[in-house]
Amino acid sequence: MTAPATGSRARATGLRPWLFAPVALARVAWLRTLIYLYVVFDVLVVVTDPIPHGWVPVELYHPVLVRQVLHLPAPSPVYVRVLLAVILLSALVAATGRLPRIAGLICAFGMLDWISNAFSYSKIDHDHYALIIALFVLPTVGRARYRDVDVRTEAAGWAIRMIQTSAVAIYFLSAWAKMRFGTWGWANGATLIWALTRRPNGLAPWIASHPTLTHALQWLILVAESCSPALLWLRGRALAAGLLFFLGFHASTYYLLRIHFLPLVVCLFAFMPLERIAPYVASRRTARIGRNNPVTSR
Amino acid sequence: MQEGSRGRLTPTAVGWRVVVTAALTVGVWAGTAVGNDQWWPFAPMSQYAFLVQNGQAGIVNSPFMEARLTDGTLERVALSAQGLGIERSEIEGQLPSFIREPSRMQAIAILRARREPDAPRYTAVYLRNRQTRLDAARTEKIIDLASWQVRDPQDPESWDGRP
Repeated sequence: MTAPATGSRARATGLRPWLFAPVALARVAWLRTLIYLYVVFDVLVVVTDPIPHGWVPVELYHPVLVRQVLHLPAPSPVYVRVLLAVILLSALVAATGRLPRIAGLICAFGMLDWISNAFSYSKIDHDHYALIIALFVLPTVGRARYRDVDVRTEAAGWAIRMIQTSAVAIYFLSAWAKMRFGTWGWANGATLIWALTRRPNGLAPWIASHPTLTHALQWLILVAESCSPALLWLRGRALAAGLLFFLGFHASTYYLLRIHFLPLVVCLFAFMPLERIAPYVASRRTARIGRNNPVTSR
Repeated sequence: MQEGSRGRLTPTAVGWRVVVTAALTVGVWAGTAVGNDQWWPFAPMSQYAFLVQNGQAGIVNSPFMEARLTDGTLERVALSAQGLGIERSEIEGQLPSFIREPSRMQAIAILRARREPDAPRYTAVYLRNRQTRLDAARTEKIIDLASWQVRDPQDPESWDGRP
């Protein structure tokens, strides 16, 4: 069923070409593999707190609003282990591209439970926002295969755009929060020294002993976060440069503070033309076969 | 059927996606503009967003816990997921309530008994803060924030005064 009328109206307002720009299903297929495999890594290596939280007395449990609204129970040792099994199973199925809607939605709700559990003991990280959004929008696309390079749909475009905007929201709103909580004096303050002092690694102590350098780094962070919405409009090498900057930023924080923001990093792949992977691999294979079997003439 | 020819969405499919987009946008912006941590996943993006003053006025607080064991020794409480099962940052998030109501630290003794049933139990729990001043000498001092004599150390869970 086509929808020319709505399309024309939305096009006139400029919303549809931006929010629903068709994207190859192959990109969704690759992104699913990446994100669902990351979920396995996330629950086994990165956010492991929910398992020991099963032992924590209930008086230290302060459920975030979403747990109260959904009536999710206080974690217990059995509950969190069953939840872990459900997440692992659904993520592995969804990573293969099978049952994309059912397995994807089970994984999304499972992760909402898992991460909200991790954050219901009075410590919230904001690195999982884009991942949670990704897990809820990816099932809406339906079936997608690596070979769907030339099949471009608006459903895929919307899902990819939502993941992109969520990743950018983390950066941009981080700058906003610095103004709200840290005030305009944040960039010239000693927050980075505070972090480097508490979690020092590598060159951290040396950097912490140079306040001018830490001020320059804080200004760089603030400006980069404020300019991050540009990622939504940049193309080609400019986009690649922007992504490399943020990947470098996360690598630096991991080196200096052991803070990696991997759940956000994995969502940055939504900006990349992953649909070119299969054609690139195929062309390399063809070239190799051509070299090994040269056409000879008598 | 949500998609027609060339992958175009139907008006209904476009409509609900626009509503979801608007709801998420308003939610995440409002969370950082006026919300608090309870709003997660729309909580403020506030990690490292606080201001630390430079020089003499700047202070780095590193709270920690110690516990007296039934054998009389003093031990640093392992505040980590692998250790006691709760992170130092989570204890920091509950610092005001521990100071206001030290009896809440009974939960630390209970957690120890649950996680390490064969280890000596806690008889007292101390909440302390290592304060480092950001001056040239990086002067440090330890401040006592709260302490709690554990009720029924061998079976802390049985205490009926739990909050």
